[in-house]
Amino acid sequence: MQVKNNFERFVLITLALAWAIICLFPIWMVISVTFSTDTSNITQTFFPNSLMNGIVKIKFALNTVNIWKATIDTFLYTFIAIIGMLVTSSLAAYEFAFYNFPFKKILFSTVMISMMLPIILYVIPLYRFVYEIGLTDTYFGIALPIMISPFSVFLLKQFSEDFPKDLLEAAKIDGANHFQIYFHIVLPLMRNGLITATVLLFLKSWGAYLWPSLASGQKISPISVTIANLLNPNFYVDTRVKIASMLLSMLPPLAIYLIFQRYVIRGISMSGIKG
Amino acid sequence: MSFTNWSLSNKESINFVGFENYLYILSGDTISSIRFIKSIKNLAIYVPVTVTVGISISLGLALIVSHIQQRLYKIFRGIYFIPTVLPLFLVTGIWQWFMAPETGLVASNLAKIGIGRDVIWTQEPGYAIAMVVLIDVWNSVGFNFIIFSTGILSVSPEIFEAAEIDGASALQKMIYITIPLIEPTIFFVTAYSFISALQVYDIPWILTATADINAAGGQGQVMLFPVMEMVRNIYSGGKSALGRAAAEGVILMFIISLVTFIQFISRRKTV
Repeated sequence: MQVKNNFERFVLITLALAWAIICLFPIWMVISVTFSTDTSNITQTFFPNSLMNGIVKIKFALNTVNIWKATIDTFLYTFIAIIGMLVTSSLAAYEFAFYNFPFKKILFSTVMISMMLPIILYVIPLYRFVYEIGLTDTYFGIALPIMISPFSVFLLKQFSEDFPKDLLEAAKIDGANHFQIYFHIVLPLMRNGLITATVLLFLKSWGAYLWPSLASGQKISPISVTIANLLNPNFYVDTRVKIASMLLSMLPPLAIYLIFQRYVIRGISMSGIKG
Repeated sequence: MSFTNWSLSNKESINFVGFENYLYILSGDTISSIRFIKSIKNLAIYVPVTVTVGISISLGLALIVSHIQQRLYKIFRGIYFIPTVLPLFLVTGIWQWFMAPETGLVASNLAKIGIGRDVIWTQEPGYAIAMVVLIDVWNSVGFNFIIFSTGILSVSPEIFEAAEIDGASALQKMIYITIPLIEPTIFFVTAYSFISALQVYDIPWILTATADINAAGGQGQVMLFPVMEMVRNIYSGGKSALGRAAAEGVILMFIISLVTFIQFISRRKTV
């Protein structure tokens, strides 16, 4: 369905290009201002002009602003959340995709509804609960609501529906039990789905702000809370250090996205198919 | 929970207080309740604007990009999704810097052409909400774009070929063929955008955060939204604070369900 008319094509490409520039320009500015001298006007620094000053600012951001610690902390709770999600979601998707049990439809719609009405609904009871079992300000406590991911269940179930059912039948005839089928047949087949779910959860966990800001305290500094505090006007830091910190905190999600772009885009488009 | 007097400081005695929390936050004569009502008013302006702008831009881009070469489409798709990949706190940070009155690249250039001259965007009524819309749209277009363009690509190419033989222009094809055929996708994205816009929190919270928790929402609460008010209640830890926050949550939930319900009803009528 390509446009054949040259003039029409020119107009379309120009418009598309304009939005591409709007997307990339802010990121470019962050890079170029980080690597510029202190005297250059930050509204006009369109190109980096001092590599050395940038390195100084980045070092300062890593050590004094604690971006280094925040990055490690965030990686840790993200990692716990991903492990938890992989176990719970893949098992749930396996059950929903291949077995019939009472109230299956109702249960699955409950999962779907909980995807549509996220954290706001349960943040207060959840906070109370986590507070009472003493998990506030622990990695596990922050990871807990992130790992329970109805979206991943949905995604993995969508992936599972393409599996050859004969394979499962064959395994059953050979005498494999429930969990043997899960480990030896379903999990390897789910591989792509698991990668997609992992990458999407990583991005979600990295950007989570409301819950980590409530559940974290002295010990753990999530990256989102660290950056948000940095943006607080009461907290004076050099502008270039601020921008260098932002640059550092965008690197992990950008890197993950660039590496796994295919999976991310497939996962997102799948979420729109069934609605 | 919204019917009790829960608070963090008062762990032992949780009492049932009936509709007291609801009456309190909706009465309009205490500071908390004036704040909450103001936040609902802000929400009523913010949500329709951000959903309309966000969907127009992403649908427009999806229509444009799906009508050019496949190779270019893939490159653009990769680029458009980058702002969505960036965490929201970071997106907010970048735009806070861009929209700062003197040192902000975008705000200072807008001031030159006469938009928002001598305005501190985060503090001026109207401008504050516009700024949240701007940040939200920049962040969310990538996501909507991918869903729209997947929907468009699933339309059978033969239909377009037939239209071309009949002499339809690119614009005619978009309006008369593509948009009606992807109506289910548009409906899904609209419903989803409404649900997420109603829960706006990160952007305005970070933009107006100061040391004082009661300053959330900025001066005159120009940027206050219901979730922020809930969080303020949790932090403030006053008497019945959790119960009140829960009551506010229930009201917001009710609004979300109502909006979604209305969308489903109106869809059934038109289709």
